[in-house]
Amino acid sequence: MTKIEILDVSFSYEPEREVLRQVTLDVPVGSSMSIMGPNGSGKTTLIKTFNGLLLPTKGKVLVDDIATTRTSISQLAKKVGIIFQNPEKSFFSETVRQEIAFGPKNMGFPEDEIDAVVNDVSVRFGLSAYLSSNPFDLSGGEKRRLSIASVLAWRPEVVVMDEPTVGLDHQYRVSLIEMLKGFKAEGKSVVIVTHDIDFALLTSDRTALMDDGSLIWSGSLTDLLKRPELFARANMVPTYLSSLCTELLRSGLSQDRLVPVDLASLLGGA
Amino acid sequence: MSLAFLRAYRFSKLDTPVHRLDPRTKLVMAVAFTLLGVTTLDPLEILVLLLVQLIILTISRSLLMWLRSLRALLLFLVLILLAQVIATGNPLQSAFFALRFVVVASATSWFFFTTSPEDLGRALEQLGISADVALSFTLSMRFIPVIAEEFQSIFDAQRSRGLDVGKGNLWERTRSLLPVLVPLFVGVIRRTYEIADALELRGYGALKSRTRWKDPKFGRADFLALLALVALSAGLLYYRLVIPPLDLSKFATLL
Repeated sequence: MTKIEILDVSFSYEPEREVLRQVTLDVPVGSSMSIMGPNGSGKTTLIKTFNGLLLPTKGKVLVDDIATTRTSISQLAKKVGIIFQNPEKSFFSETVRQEIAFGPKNMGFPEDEIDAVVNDVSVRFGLSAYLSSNPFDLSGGEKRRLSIASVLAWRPEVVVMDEPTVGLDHQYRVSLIEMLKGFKAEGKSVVIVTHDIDFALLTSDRTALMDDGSLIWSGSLTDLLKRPELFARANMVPTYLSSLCTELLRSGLSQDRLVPVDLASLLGGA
Repeated sequence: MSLAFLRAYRFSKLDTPVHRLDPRTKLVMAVAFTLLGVTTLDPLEILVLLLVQLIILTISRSLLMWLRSLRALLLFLVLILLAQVIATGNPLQSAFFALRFVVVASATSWFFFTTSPEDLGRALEQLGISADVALSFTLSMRFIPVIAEEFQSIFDAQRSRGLDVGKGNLWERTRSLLPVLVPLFVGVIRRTYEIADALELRGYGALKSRTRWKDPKFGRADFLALLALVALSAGLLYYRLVIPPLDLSKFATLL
């Protein structure tokens, strides 16, 4: 299983403007982490360093103890699957089947195995009826499912999602929460970039807060809930759900009961 | 692979004498610098054109942006230099040939650094170009950096799915760009429809003639700038037609 270590990483697109500043963070095997912060805080830039799309200008990113500077993006992508915001914008194939098969083909899967993984993920994501359809003809929710399926097809051990809830209806949001729980049960690590505090509460057990390129806090979800003032530092407003959780903890609810799965059942969120 | 260099040509809103010039004046100046640049190989003319543009870039506080745009063109410069050295065998003449490319590219750079797409559109309309054509041109200019960013995000997404565009011969490399270009074009076409709808929804084309919030005005500074341009062009043309050009082969033997 794969672990990611971000060690004192800085990054800048232009010499005089750092987008990431000395960020140190680790994504342990099997963990579920949400990275939160306001727009422009460096969240997306940070995840682009996980598979070598961006190489740190200072510090290093280790994926299974190997620096991202010492291997290729395609090698790293086998382990770290990133699903970017609005992933359906990168569809290009004529059929759903070809779209799902694109990644496994690039990763060097043999033909018979490609057929097997395409069939497997299409069943898991409810797309088996559309395998011959044009991806552009799918509905919004189906397109989003296809985009996730087309990354999970090669079975990456770390799944990274950038703003997965943007533009999604409630039904899909609930199924996404279920899907993320499933990944965790399989032993995969999950990293979610979001500024949706409620979604983070229901899907993550660890949280990292970023502001202006710096990591201002990281730790367990329950620790964050006990310190709601941290939301303000990350320019975020506590939601009704997060405030309720804070009050439950203050009134003596055991923090063991506040793990995402229990929280979801406690509050009927999933 | 990156189209980030296209961002280097973005307008920056500053209050400098060059920014305040009428866009038509700047357009004439940029075209004149380009024409003077492409029609000469004389080192002195190239140096003068470069020096004048450096002054314009300094006054418009765009020197750093200009250097950044040049960094993006570095590969082309090196290729021009190498091709010229191989063709002529004269490194000094080849260096001036590459410098001529910088002169021509710089004329475009400072023009776009200092002229907002809206001002340019208004100026084109005042030059007699139809409002629709001027708007199309303005929108195209405005969307170049946006499309560059779109290309980058699609490219990143496909590389995250294992796409490797660095393998194989030229044909295979070009073909491997299809997973990037197809969604890019689909996105661009979709965006053009959205923009057309948004324009119509906001009343574009409802009336035949349009009022303008602000019209570019030709002032004293424009007159002086054009006068300086005429003097410079006349001086360069006099030098070109009357005075014998510098013979770089003499200098080349000293190297």
